[in-house]
Amino acid sequence: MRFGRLLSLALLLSWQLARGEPLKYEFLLLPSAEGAGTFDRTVPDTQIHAAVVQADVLLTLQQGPLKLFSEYLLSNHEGDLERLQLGWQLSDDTVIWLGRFHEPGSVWNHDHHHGQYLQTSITRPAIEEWEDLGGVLPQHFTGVLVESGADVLNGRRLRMALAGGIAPQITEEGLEAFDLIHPDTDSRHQLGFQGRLSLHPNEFSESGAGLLLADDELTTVGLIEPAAATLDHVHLRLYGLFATYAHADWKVTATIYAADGRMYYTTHRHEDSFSVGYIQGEYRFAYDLTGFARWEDSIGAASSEYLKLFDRFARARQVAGLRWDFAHRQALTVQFARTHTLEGQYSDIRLQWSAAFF
Amino acid sequence: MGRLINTLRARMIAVVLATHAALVPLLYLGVSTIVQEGYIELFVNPIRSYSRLVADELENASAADFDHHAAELLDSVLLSGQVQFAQIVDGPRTLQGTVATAPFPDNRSDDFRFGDQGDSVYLISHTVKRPGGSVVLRLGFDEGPTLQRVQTAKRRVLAAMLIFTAVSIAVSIWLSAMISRPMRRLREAAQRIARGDVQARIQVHSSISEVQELNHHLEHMRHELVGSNERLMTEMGERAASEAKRLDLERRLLHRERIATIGTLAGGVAHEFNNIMTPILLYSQAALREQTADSRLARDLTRIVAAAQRARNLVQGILTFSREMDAKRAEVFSVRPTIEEALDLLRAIVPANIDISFQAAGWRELRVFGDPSLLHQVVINLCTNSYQAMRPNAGRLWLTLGSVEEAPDGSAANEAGYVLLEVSDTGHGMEPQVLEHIFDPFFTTRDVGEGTGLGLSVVHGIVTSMGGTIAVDSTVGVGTRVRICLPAAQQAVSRGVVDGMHSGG
Amino acid sequence: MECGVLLSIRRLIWVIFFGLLTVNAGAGSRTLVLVVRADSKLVDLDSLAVRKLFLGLPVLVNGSPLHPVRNRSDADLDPIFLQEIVAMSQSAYDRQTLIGVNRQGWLRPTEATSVGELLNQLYADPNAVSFMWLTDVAHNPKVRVIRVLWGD
Repeated sequence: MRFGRLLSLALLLSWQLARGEPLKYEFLLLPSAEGAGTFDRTVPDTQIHAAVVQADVLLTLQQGPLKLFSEYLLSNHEGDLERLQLGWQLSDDTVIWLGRFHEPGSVWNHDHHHGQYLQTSITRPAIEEWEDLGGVLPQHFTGVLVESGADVLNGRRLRMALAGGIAPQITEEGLEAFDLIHPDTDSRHQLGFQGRLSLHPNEFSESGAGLLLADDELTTVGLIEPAAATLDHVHLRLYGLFATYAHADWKVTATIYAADGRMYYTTHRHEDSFSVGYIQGEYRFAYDLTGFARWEDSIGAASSEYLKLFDRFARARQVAGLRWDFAHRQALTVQFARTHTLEGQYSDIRLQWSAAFF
Repeated sequence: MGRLINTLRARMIAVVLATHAALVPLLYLGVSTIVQEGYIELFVNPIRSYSRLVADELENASAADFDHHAAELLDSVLLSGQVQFAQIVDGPRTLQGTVATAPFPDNRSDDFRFGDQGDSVYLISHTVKRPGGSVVLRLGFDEGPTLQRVQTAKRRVLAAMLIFTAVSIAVSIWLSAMISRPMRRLREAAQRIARGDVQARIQVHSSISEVQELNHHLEHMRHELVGSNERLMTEMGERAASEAKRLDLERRLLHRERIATIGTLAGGVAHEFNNIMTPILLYSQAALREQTADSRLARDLTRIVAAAQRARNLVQGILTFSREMDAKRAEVFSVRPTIEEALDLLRAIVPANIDISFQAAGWRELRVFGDPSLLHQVVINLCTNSYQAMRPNAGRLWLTLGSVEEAPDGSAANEAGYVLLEVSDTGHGMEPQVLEHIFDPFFTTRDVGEGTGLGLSVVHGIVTSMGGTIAVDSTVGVGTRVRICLPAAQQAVSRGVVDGMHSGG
Repeated sequence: MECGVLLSIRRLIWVIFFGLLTVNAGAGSRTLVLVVRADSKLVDLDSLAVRKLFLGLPVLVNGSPLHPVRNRSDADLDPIFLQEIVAMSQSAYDRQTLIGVNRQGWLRPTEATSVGELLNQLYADPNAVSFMWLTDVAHNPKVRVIRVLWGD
């Protein structure tokens, strides 16, 4: 509630400063429809929905340097306000955001957010999964985000993002981000800080490489599993490296995370660590046909007590598929995956239609 | 045209060809356009971005010694391998690099679409703002490699389409064979059935379910047809048998009525004749007794007596033929001894070159109900006919006696079964038209005076009166067989049975 | 930002320069120029900034973001815009703008399908920036040319 008031005050002040400028807006609709089937299963439940129809709606309102940017995801399974950001464009390269945002320490989610059309594969790597879909890393924060960039080294582009805000909590259903619209006054959310630094050949190039850092305090709520019932909070530190190479028909993206967790139980403390990485290659066969394959793996996942809090986490996965861009800003994608979780393994095949409408 | 494509194979090939003729060009155009656009996109996008970067670099170059920097920049772009022509137009001046290239095309406007001006060069120019004014950076990129890739890709697409068409035709030929082969076999099976060969099963194997179903239904139809046919044949056979039986019964009834009529008539005449002949015989015998043996009158009287006795015998025969079996003389008697007794008598009469034999099957005593003397007469009459048919040649005459469960006509009305007596010979046999009338009274094939024609009529009458049946088989030049079937008797028979035997035979 | 006197001299030079160009333009050549409202604070924009602006990236002048307007009044302008201004293909341009809107809520350039509509947008917004044929903008005191983008 306090945050809401702060946001409202900021909005009012900003509007005063921006008064006189014309109001501009931008609207983007990213719909998708997906069908999935699983087979060759050894797990009792994969939590994969047979059909998902969703619409990702983005709306920008800008008056002068003041921006209000929101992303609302509506599907046949949920409806969530994913991002609500009030921003101030300080300069060409720097913008300060206040509100709910995707944590800058995730390269995949920073590039694609919730829009399926912009993502070549149907699914995202397990380590980048959203909290409400079994993700193990915090993705949604409510706080302050600063994004900036600069030209360095003779035309190369350095991009930076720093954020601090309210981190998610760990519940029986998994990570649960702070709800900006309906904040729980009794919650025990703590703070988290993230940063990303990357270097690109130029302003517009998809290629680049960089570092990722995160330091989050994740409190627990209502854990009933005997092994986790006495867990009070987790101090999770994340170190990451990523690189993307795009040239002609090829694009390769690779990311590796090393997680260092300190788990605070009421009776003791446990040091936890694991590493997760993925590499995805894409090749454009023809003007509108792209093949992709991704390999995800982990080290120490089976023994990590932190990861045992999330039984859906895929400690390894192999993905391959084909995307066909047809018509105008529409795509059909078929994807096959073999997933290995901490409970067992399963295969799934998916077919998705996605589009982008302005 | 219709005749050319009236087979399944021809139609499938025609459909495949027509479909491909209509769709493949469109598909080729579509795919080759997509491929071409892809290659163009791969060419245009990078060169635009690259030329823009070069222009930006030129814009940011320092004002001091601009020409030198410009020349260096031009050299670097030419050496990068992407650029075929490069120059900077600064008002009336034109700056070139030091790397040797082909002369820059004159009076050439910019290209905004791939292959715009047909000279395999994509020309981009950027107006670059400089402190003293603007200069124009002009870069020419070689479209040749991309054009070649497009042509190669189009050829590959065309080859793929042609291969696809060829494979489609081959598959359609194979598929049509898969369908038409079993259809041909089914047709042949149907033709066989039409010709009357309904016994062979229809078994055409195919993986196509429709053909399997058709085979199943045709086989079912054949099976039903065979069944119907057989039922029809059986019914026709039964009808023919019934008709034959009816005709036989009619003939026998007619014969019996005729015999009965003749018998009644003959019986009446014979009775009266017997009454007339009796005093003639008695008085002739009385007159003979009074004469001396060697007198002329005695000789005449002897002839009269003999003739009268022959007349009386004839009358007795007629009376026997016409008379009903005497119920007072009927009894259950054993057949075998009666036959043996008759044969003893015959062996004395029959010539020695006729071999007579008798065989009784089984050990069981065979009994019938009737007058044993009548059966005796039956045997005598039959054997007499037989040996007369064989003389003067040698031959065989044999009798067999046995029992059967059913009568020759298939009936099994008698619980005790039937006694079967067969009399066979190796005589001259009888033709069918003679066989038809052998039981008719007074019918004979012998010369006048050699027979009265009553022998077999008497036999027929006796057998019928005993409730039996008589049948004759004869083959000219081979012999004759007479089969008599009498109801067997195991115990004394009631009056009602006797009356029934009299009425029906 | 330059002071008002310098600005007037600059304007005079441009008027003379483009007046001469206009004479030449009558001979058949075309010149594409970057234009703003006459009283806009924007004096100059380098090619990189122009490119960024029309790709939807924020470009600020005196703390205010510029508002790009894409001129679609002439069919020839589309390929020139893609090649000379944003330097990419249409599909790459679509993807780039889509990415920007999705990531940071960038605003895509608004579009004007006629010269009149374009001029109206320029008149209404001091931060509006667009491109026009020189012949369409010459002798218009309400619009100011800030640089030549391309000429054939």
